[in-house]
Amino acid sequence: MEVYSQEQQQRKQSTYFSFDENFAIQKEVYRDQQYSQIFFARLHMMRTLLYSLVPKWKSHLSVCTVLGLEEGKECIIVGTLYKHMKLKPCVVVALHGKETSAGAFFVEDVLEAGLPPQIERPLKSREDKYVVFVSGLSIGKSSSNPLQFQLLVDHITGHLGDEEEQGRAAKIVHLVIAGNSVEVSRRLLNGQNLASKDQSRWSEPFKELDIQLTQIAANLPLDIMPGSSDPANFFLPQQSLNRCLFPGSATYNTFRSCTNPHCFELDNIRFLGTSGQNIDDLTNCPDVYFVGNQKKYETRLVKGLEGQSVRLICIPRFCETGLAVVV
Amino acid sequence: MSQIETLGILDEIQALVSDKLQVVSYKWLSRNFLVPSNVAKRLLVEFVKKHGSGLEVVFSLSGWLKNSPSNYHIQLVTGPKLSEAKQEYDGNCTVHVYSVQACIPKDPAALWNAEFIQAEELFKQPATVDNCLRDNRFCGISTSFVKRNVDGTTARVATAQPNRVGISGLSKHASALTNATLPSQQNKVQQSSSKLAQQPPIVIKDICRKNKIIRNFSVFADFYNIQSDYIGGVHDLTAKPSSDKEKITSLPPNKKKGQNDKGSLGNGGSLANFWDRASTKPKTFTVTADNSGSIQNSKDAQVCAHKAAEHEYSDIDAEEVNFRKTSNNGGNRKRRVVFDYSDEDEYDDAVNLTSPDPPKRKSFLDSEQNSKTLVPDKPILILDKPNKDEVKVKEERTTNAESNGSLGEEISLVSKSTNGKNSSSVKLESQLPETDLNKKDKVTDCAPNSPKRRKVLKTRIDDRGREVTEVVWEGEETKVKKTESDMTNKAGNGTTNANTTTVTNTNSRPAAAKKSLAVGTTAPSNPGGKAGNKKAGNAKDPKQGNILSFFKKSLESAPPGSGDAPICAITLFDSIQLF
Repeated sequence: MEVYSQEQQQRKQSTYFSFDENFAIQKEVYRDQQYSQIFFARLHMMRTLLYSLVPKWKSHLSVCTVLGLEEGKECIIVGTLYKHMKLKPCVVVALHGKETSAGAFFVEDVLEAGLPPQIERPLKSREDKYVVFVSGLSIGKSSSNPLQFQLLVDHITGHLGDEEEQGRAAKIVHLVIAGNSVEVSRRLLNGQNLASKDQSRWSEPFKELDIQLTQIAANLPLDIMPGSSDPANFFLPQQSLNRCLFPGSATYNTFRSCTNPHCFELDNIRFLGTSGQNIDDLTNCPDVYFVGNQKKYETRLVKGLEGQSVRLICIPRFCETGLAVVV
Repeated sequence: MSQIETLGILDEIQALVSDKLQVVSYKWLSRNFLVPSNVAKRLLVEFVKKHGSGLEVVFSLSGWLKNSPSNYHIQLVTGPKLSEAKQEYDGNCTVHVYSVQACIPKDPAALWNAEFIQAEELFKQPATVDNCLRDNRFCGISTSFVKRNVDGTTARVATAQPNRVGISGLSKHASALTNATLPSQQNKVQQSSSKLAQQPPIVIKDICRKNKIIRNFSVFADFYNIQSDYIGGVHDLTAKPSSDKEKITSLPPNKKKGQNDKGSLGNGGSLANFWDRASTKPKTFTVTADNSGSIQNSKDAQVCAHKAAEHEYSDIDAEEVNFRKTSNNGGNRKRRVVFDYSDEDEYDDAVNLTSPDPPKRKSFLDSEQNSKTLVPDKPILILDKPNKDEVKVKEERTTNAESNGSLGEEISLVSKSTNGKNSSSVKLESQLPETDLNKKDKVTDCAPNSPKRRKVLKTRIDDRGREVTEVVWEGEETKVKKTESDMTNKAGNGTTNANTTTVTNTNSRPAAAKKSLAVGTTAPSNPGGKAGNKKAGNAKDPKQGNILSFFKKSLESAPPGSGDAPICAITLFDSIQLF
C-alpha cells in the first residue's frame, strides 16, 4: 500500500460585513400593548413614498382619501391592505379604481412601493464562490432525519465525494442557516420549571445542533438565524440566539449568531433575508433576498423600476425536502 | 500506511461489522483511526473487496440530476440499487463507499448513530483538547482562517498538512495515544465528579473558576456535562475572567437594606438591583447566593440557579434579571438550604458563633471584634433574612468605654432560632448610654415571617467570655412583629416624620439603622463586606443617636433578667415608635 497523502484544497474566502445592528434591540422596550403606532408610522412613510410614485404611474388621476371618495369617480387611494386572518399580514399599496354604487371600491390596478435604491456592485473577482442557505433543520422533531443533515455537513465541509466534488465544496464561502434549526416541544417551553426528564429532551436537540455546527464552523464561516420555532423573541426583529446555546461551536471565529432578519454583505454583495416571517422594512435594496422555511424552493430574478436587480430565493424546509440552496 | 497496518485496520473493521454489528462509515473510520476521510474511503473499498461478501455496502452518489432545472443531488444507495440510481444522473456522478454494515437498518438514520456517538465523545472532551472533530482535520478542504477561542486564548484550528511521513507511523501511534489520553481525561473527569460529590447538592459556585464545576444549573447540568473549562471558556467571551471577591463586595450596603424587611425575595427593588449586578457578573451572583444570608431557602437558591442558568442563556451584558418572579417564594419556604462551606477558607477572619446545626452563618461579628480598634467604635447589627427555619439576627453594639465608663459592656444580640425551639428567657443586661452620640448604631430588623413567633431576648456568656444577648423567637404572636415592622419601615425608608420630629438624638438613627441593616446583611456574605461594614461603621455621624438608648428606656421599665423579659422586648420596640 502506498503512502497516503492528504492534499487538501483551499477554501475560498470572502469579505464579510454584518448589518445586523439595525435589528439588534439594545435596551429598547415596547411598553404599550397597542401596536398602532408602528403601523401608523409605516403607513405614513410608505404613503409618502407612494405619493411620489403615483404621478409616474397614472398621471391623470388624483389621489384622494377614502372618505373623499365619490361614487363613480376614478381615483387613487393609498392605504394599508390587510388580510383578515391570524396576525393580520398587511401591505401598503396604492389602488386605482372607483367607488361602486354598493359602496365598495372596485380596483382596477395596484401599485406597490417598489424597490428602494440599490447600490451598484461591481463584481471584483471572476472566480465562482458559493453561499449555502438552509433552513428548517428542525432538529429534535421526530420527523427530521439527522442523516440527511449529516450528509449536507459532510458535503459542505469536504468529506463527501471525490476530489472534484470537494473542489466544488471548497468554493463555498459561507453558510446561512435561516431559522428553525431546532424544534422543541412547545409544551416544554411554557416558562415552568422543567422536570429532570424533560431537561434532556430540551437540551438534546441543542447538543446535537451544536455538534453539527462545530463540524461546520471548524471549516467555514456560518451564520445562524433564529426562526419561529427557535428560542428567541416572537416578534421581528428576532434577536440572535444566545451563544451559550452553542458552547462548542461558539468558540470558533467562524460562528456567528445573527438576528432575524439578517443583513450582511459578502464581497460587497448585499444579502438580506428572514427566516420566513414577514419583513417590510427595506431602505436599501438587497442583491439577494432570501426567505427561509418555505414550502418549496423557488427563485426569481426581479428587476426594479430603476434598474435594481434582486435575486429572490425561497429556501425550503430542510427536514421535509432535504434541500439546501447554493447561490 | 504500511501494508501491515492496513491489514490490521481491515481486520478491525471486520470485527466491528461482523461481531459487533456496528455500522462503519468512512467518517467513523477516519476519526477512529485518525486518517483523512479520503483515505478512509479507500480503506473501505479495500475492505469490501476482501471481506465484503455477506455484508451490506452503502454507497454515496453525488452529481447533477437529469431533471431540469438540474439539482445537485447527494444520495445514499445500497449496493443492489447502485446501477439503477446512477441512471438518474446526468453524466458522471461520484460514487464512493459510504459505509459497511452487517445489514441495512430499517430506519436510515440508524446509519448515522455510530458516527454521532463518536462525534459526541469527541465533543465532550475538554475544551482545550483539539481533536479531529474540532479542527475537522480529516476533511478534504483546508480553511486557514478558522480560529477557535478556548479560555480566552485564540488558537488556530489545526488543519492536516500533507503528512506523508507522519501517517505511516501515525495511525498506530495515534490510536495508542488517544487511548492513552482518554483514561487520563476520564480521570480528570472523575476527580472532578468526586469533588462534586463531596459538596452539598445545592451549591452555586463561581462559574468562572476554571477548576470548579457547576452543579446546580439543574436545567443544563447534563447539557454541559462536565465541562468546566468549557464554560469558563464560554464565559470568557462575555465576562471578565477574574474571580476577585473584592469586586463583588463593592456593592453598596444600602442595596441590601430592603431585603430585611421581608423574608423573601419579593422586595424587588433592591434585590433586583442586587441581582442585576449579579447578572453582569455571573460570579457575583454565585458568590452572593452562596453567602448571602438572605437566601436561606434552597428553593430560592434553586430558583436563583435557574435564573442564573437562564442568565447564562441570555445576554449577560445586556439584561437585567428580574427577580420579582421568584418573589413567590416568600410563602414557600419549605426547603432548607444547605450551604457549602468548603469556601469558607475565604472568610478567614469569620468565626461562627452559632450552634452547629446548619446552615452555618459566618459570624461577621467576631471578625469585627478581632480588630480591636474597631470594636469599641462599631456596634454592628447584622441581620440575616429570616425564614421559617432559620432566623438569625445578630446585633452587636459596643459601647465606648472611654466615653461612658459605667457602660463598658458590649451588647450583642444574636438571635437564632430553629424549628420548635422556644427560648423563653430574655435578658438584657447592659445599661446603655442615652446621650452618647458618638456611637454608630445599627439596627437590623428581623422581620418575622411567621406570625406565630416573637422575639425575645436572651443573654448568655459565649465562648469568648462576652455577654451575648440573643433575640430569639418565641412561639406566639406578639406586638413585636408590628413594632419591628415599624422599625423596619423606619430603617428602610430612611427617615419618617414620626421618627425624626420627636427626638433629636435619633434623627440620624434611621439612616444609621438603614446603613446597618444594609451592612448587616452584607456582612456575612463575604469578607469584603467586612470592609463595607467597617466603612459604614467608621463613618460616624456625630448627630447619630445611640440605639442603646432604646434599650435604656425599656430597661427602665423592666429590669433585665426578670420574668417579664418578653415584655421588655416589646417595650423596647415600642419605644422606638415614640421617637
